[in-house]
Amino acid sequence: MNERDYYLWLAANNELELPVKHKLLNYFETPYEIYNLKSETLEKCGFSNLICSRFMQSKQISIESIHETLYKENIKFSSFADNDYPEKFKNIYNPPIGIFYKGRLPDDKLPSVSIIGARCCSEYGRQITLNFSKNLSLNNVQIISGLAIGIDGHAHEGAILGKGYTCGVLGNSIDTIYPKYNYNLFEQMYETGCVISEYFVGNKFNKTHFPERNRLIAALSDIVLVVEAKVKSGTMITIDRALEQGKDVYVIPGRIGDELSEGCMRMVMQGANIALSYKDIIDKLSEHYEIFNNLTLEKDSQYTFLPNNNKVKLNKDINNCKFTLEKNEIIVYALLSLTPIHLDDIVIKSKITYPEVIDAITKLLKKQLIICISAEYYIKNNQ
Amino acid sequence: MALNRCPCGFYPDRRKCHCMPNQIKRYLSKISQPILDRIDLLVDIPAINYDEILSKTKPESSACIRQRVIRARKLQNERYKDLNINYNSRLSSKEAEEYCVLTPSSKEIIKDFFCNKDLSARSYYRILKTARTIADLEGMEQILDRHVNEALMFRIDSLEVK
Repeated sequence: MNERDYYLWLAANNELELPVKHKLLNYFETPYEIYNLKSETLEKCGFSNLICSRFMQSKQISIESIHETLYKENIKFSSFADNDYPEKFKNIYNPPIGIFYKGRLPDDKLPSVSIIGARCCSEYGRQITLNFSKNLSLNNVQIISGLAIGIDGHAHEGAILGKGYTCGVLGNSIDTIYPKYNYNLFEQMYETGCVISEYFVGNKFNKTHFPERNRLIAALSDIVLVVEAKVKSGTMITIDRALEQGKDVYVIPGRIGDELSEGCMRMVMQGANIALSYKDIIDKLSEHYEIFNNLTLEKDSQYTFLPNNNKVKLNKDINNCKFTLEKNEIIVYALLSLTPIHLDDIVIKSKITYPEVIDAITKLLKKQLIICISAEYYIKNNQ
Repeated sequence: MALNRCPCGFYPDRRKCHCMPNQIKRYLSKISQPILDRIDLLVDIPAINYDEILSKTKPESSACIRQRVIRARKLQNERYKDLNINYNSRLSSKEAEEYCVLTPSSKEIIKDFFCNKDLSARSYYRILKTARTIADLEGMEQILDRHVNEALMFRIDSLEVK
């Protein structure tokens, strides 16, 4: 067994929880010494009997069988002993002993932004996330997130749409696909991005793993962007970790009284930055990375998301699209926003007849200015 | 048939609805795609609030609509007197092509819709017949673009959020 194998043995050890492993590493410094520990020494150091017996059990797992599982499941491993171990992990408190991954590890030289938020997100949150992550990945920014339902998943989707690199950090073992809802996303990310986990095959699902995962999401990124978050949520843990690690936090502002934006607004109160467009984030990134220098960003005041009822700006928005719109189309388009609106409401508010509204909607759909999100609900297309 | 949009029924209003996407997916998959395919008119009805219940604006009365329906049915009876059927819904696919003639521009509309949404052959004929009926209700002989557009509105290809 070489040094890497000892790291692999410790990282793949499912009997011991992460905090115990970190404690052991703090005491004994190298995995080699940990491997050769006797249970008496462990007891002397103040570890409980349970941990001692588990530790002795874990020694029976042979390194060959671990290698075999890695090979069979097509999982790759990286630890301190490897050259490809992400630099960004080395700077944090309790860095992962080793990480299991499928795909290609993030490039240390490229900027990366993590986009996180609520699982139960609104349509507005979804559209904003897709827009930000797509545009950021078009500008060569790596998108990091947690592969959960909601904002996390949409962040990865957006990155795939923008043909960029995206990396998901899991809170469960590397071979499980959880949530099942994101099955297709996992498959795509094995191919084009990366899925990272600290937990080896066979690790039992445990909710304490999610805060542990969140520290890795924060560690991998230069900037953390929060789209929608409630006051009490896992997102807050990621933000705490990000602040401990000295990362910049950006939030998407929301409205007062909006439950999903309350967490974001609290963060603004405590000093988080506000991002109105992906350009704000690129501006910040360009302070540290040179790759943006040859990019010319339009420094105009016009943001991607225009206020809805501002007529002057609305016209500008439409002019940009190189379409000529009929009167009815303009009326209908003006009523739409990123919050889904029902067809009946459009008919009532626009004060034009049903066939006219349908005609206008069909034409707008064809011009891809609006999207039908589900059945008869429509939103503006802001991609 | 009536169905809620999610287990709690408030989706997409996220202030009230806390259903997870997978819950919604599971809930809506109670009705399979083949069954949905066979339903001619799918309409999404939003909840109405207090003001709307008490609003003074009177919608078209049922008696008035009844008149229109009777007229449309008479038209259809007249049209299909040589065939063994009475109404649009009974048209076979061959007969549908014969009686529901589309203008080139409406053909274009349906083509676009098909390319975007991957519809089945069954739903194509359903759209034709629905458009025919909408035209009949207006007393029009020719199916116009707006009738096709309206028929397409009733064709919800999937209940799920995309």
